[in-house]
Amino acid sequence: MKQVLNVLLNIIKVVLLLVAMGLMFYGLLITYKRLSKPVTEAIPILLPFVLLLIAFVINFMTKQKIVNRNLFYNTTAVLVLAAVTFVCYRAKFDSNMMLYHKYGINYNPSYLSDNIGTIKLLVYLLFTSNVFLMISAKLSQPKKEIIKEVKEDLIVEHKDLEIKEEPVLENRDLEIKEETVNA
Amino acid sequence: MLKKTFGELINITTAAILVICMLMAGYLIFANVYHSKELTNVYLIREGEITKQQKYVAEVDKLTTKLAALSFEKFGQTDKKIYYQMIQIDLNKCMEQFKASTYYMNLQSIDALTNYRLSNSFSNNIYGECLRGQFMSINNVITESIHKDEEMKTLMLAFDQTILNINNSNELIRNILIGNSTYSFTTFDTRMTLYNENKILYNAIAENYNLSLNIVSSLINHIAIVAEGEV
Repeated sequence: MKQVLNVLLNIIKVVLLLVAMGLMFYGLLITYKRLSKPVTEAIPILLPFVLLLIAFVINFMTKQKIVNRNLFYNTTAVLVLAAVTFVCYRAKFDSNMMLYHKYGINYNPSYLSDNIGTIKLLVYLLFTSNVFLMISAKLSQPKKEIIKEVKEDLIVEHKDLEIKEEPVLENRDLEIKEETVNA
Repeated sequence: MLKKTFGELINITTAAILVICMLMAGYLIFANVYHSKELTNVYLIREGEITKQQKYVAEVDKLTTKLAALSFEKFGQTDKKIYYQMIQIDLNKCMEQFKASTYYMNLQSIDALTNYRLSNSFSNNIYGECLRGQFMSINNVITESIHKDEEMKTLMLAFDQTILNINNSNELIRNILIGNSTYSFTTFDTRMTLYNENKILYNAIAENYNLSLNIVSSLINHIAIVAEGEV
């Protein structure tokens, strides 16, 4: 059950990240166009999203169990990205906010810019916790040399056991043995 | 040992960060849902206000008819006739703006967007076109004409401050409406105030419309007395 939930949350968080990134980029594009500012100035705002996407790709490629199977992390990531998506959605579609109408661009850039600080902080924190989880997994891993020694010991022990073990005789073998003894 | 302690420290930090993230994201979602729900609040016009609206519409109709019926033929081809006819033309243009505003005065439900449009319409049409544009033209007629009507001059001077106050009031309403993009969780009392915002602002805008109409009405009545052509 927990594993199924984790798989589901992993899919949702990637989808939400892509949607949030898209909506944020769209909002910044409109805002910067209105202010006649170059879009390159929006890079610091999109940077945490790109970093988080890279972290997600690394998690997927290296099969980071500590992140992918962490229900707490996955739930938090989904919650954070849902909040970001909701804020971006309201900036575009909530026409009950009067600033939406003020600039005549059918978008509420002021509302988005009010929330950008919180959004950046949340996404950076999510990325940091992802990195911390990876470090934690690395630290709890035993050293390669120790693993090698343990492996060798286990192989030797296994070999000893194989030698000491008596061959298991099947019924057919037992019959042949009896016949030989009788003869 | 050190590695183990460091690992545990990282685990605790990660958990703390995730808790903070969860709380902040939760707050952001709940506050936005709350704010979005509050903004969809619609105020339904009550009985007393419907009567006020009907009075306003009836007054606009009455004044338009009265102004159209005014005749200055008895002055012959004099400056006095041109003077009042020019004022009549300007006031007619004013009444056209008031006539257009009766659409808003017939609405049965008011939301934030209606209030914003109403306030914008007041600012552009009633204040911009009539109280500023046409009144400036009337002032020019008063100062440039050979015919002197001191009472008209006094009336125009007296209205200057009222017009300024009306515009300030409308600007304040617009700023309050624009400020509805910010939000926070509030106490019960503040919440009640927010729910009543549509009503309060609507009444304030309607009051501005009525005050402006009264100003124009005073001028029409004055020239009607002069022309002795009251209907």
